[in-house]
Amino acid sequence: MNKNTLLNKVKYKSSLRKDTAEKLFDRMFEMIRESVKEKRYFEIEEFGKFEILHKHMYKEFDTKKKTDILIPPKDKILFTPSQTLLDNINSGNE
Amino acid sequence: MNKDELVIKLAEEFGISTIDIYHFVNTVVESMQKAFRKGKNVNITEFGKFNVLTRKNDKGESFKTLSFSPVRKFAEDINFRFNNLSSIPLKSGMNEPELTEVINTDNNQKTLNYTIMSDKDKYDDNLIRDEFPEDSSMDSIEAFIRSKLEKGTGSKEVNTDDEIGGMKEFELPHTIIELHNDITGEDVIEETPSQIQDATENSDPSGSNENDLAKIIEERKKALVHTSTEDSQSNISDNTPVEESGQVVNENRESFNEFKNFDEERNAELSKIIEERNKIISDINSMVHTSENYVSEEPKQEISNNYEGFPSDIEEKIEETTDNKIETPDETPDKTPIENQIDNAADSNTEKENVKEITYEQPVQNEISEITNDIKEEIERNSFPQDHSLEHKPAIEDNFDPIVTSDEIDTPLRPDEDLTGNDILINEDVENLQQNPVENYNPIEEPKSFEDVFVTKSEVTADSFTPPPVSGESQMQPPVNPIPPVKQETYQERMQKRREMYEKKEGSSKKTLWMIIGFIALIILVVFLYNYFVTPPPVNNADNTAQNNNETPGEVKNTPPPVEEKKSEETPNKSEQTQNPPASTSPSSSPPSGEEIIPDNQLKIVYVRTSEGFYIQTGSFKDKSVADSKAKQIKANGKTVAVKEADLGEKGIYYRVRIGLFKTQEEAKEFASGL
Repeated sequence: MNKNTLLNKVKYKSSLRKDTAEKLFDRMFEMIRESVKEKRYFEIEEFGKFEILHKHMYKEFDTKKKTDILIPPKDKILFTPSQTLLDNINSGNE
Repeated sequence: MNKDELVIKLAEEFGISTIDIYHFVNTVVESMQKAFRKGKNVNITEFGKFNVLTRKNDKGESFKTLSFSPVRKFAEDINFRFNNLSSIPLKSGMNEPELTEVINTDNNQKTLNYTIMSDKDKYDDNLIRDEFPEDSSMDSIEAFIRSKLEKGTGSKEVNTDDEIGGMKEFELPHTIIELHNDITGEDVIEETPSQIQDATENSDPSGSNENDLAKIIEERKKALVHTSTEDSQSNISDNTPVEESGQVVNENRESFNEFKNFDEERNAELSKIIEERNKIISDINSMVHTSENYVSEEPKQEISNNYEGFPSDIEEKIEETTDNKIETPDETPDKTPIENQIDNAADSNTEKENVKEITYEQPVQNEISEITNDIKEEIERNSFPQDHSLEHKPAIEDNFDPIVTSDEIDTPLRPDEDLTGNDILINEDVENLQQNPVENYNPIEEPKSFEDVFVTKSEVTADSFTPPPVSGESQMQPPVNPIPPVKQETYQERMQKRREMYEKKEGSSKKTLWMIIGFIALIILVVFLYNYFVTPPPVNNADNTAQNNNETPGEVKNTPPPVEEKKSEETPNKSEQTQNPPASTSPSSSPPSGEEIIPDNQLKIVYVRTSEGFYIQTGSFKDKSVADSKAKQIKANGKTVAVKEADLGEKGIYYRVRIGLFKTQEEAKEFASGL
């Protein structure tokens, strides 16, 4: 599913105008991004939460070159879906 | 941030009621949930992609999960601190780098950078350890490190007492200075560096180093000569040793006194010879002036050669002149300052008895001639007033200085030799230094910088690490703690084990692969051998049976034998002709469409039912000639005997001998019983 198809569905269901719905949609995800970047945490109940996972640097043995490689540290985004969302997804199978 | 906060912020921004926005957010979430439930991935531009994944439980039940992969820009925004870092190949003996904060000027954001430092650079100072002081107190270690750093920094600052313009070679060792101080009680030699420094300071700065060096050498030489003369004079007068210096100083002093005494004796002998020479020359000159009749243009040589023919009057005059000359000390203008010093020393030391021996109380011509010959020989040597010390150098080695070897004394000193290590400095050395050119003289080695020192260490260890170009500033730091950490050994061991494990795994996988290949090859070989030796070719058997049938013509009349032959010949076609054959079961042996086979076990014949009627099939043969011969042998009694061709596919083509046509099966049975 693309962004446009999702937006069309939302427009159809919501009572807002289409223009405002588009702007609101974009702004919503932008705010999620900002909050994840600044506060390193964002959560929507019944959907899931975004966290930042810090991976420390570590050494790894390169089998091709047969040398140790230092892999730098990294901040990684981690999305953990909520249990309700998982239940909702898996209920469709039954 | 929560959902509520998001809703409130959006409401504030857009000026819409929170309820509408709340519903809007809920619709977005619900529509996404529906998509996920259907198994669709949701891709939102400039945010990321939600992927639906199917996994399995421990019980084996499949379930759906979600994973989120952000857009690159989003990931970079979050990972802004480590974006500039990349993976680095590590070498052995390198520590894990430390991260330092660096502020980007563009974004005013704090980013992190590596500060990599290898263990070798940090801790492994083999060179330092080799020279490291045995005393492990902190003061000694600090002093040692400071000395190393001072050497390594390459600073050209000159200490007033130690180094003067790189003239460290001319520095007197402390043992000699102490000896002099002990003996003389004066700090004479220690004044020399200051004098030299004054000389260097007074000298023009525009002057070259060579001129400065020459000046310094001259002044040094003068100072040394002055001290040596003063020492020799003072030492003779003061033979009492200083009690404070101890036994070692006393021993050194005795040896030094011996050396001095020896030198005095030598100087006395030399002074005697010089006196003799001067006296004789003066006598001859006086004789020449007195007896003008016997003097030619070159008086010295003639007179010295013709002493024997002197008259008695002249001899008397010679006596008078010699007596006068001996009483008054000689001061010839040709004498060098060294000779003057030697003469002075001789005057002060030698006794008058020696002088009396030389005096000509009763001059004899023979004696005079002998003396003159000796003087000539000594004059021919030319170098005796200056190089007299060379003759006694082995004596110096034996008596005085145990450090200096004979080789070092015999060989002329080079300017680049470090005299400071020899603990002795003789006038001759200074002269040699002065004579030898300063052109080839390289006073100072290129000062080693701190980095050079550590580069050499890394070269020695052959495990130097050059950090890769990281965008930040990775600088070397001086070694503060030479003791390596304990963790590093454990880590190295761990990595070594890991490598060994990897090598073992690699080897084991190769072994298994080769085992599998070998096993497959063995199976193929066994199958080939089995097919080649055990199973015979099937075609040849059919030919053989056909030939056997040809060899038995007597059995043709009887119907059973051909049926038996059929069994042997058409073993795979049992369904057609023998007891078990349901014709419809095997498609290979099934007759062509429209024919039905009805076996007769009593007569061992097969009835073939067609749309026209019934046929009696007596046999089927692979060879057509055999089938034809069989057909000829049958007595038809009005019925037609035909050979029909049947293609059985893989089994080949068979020729069936049939008798017919009968309207019913009973007719056929009756006919067959009559055969």
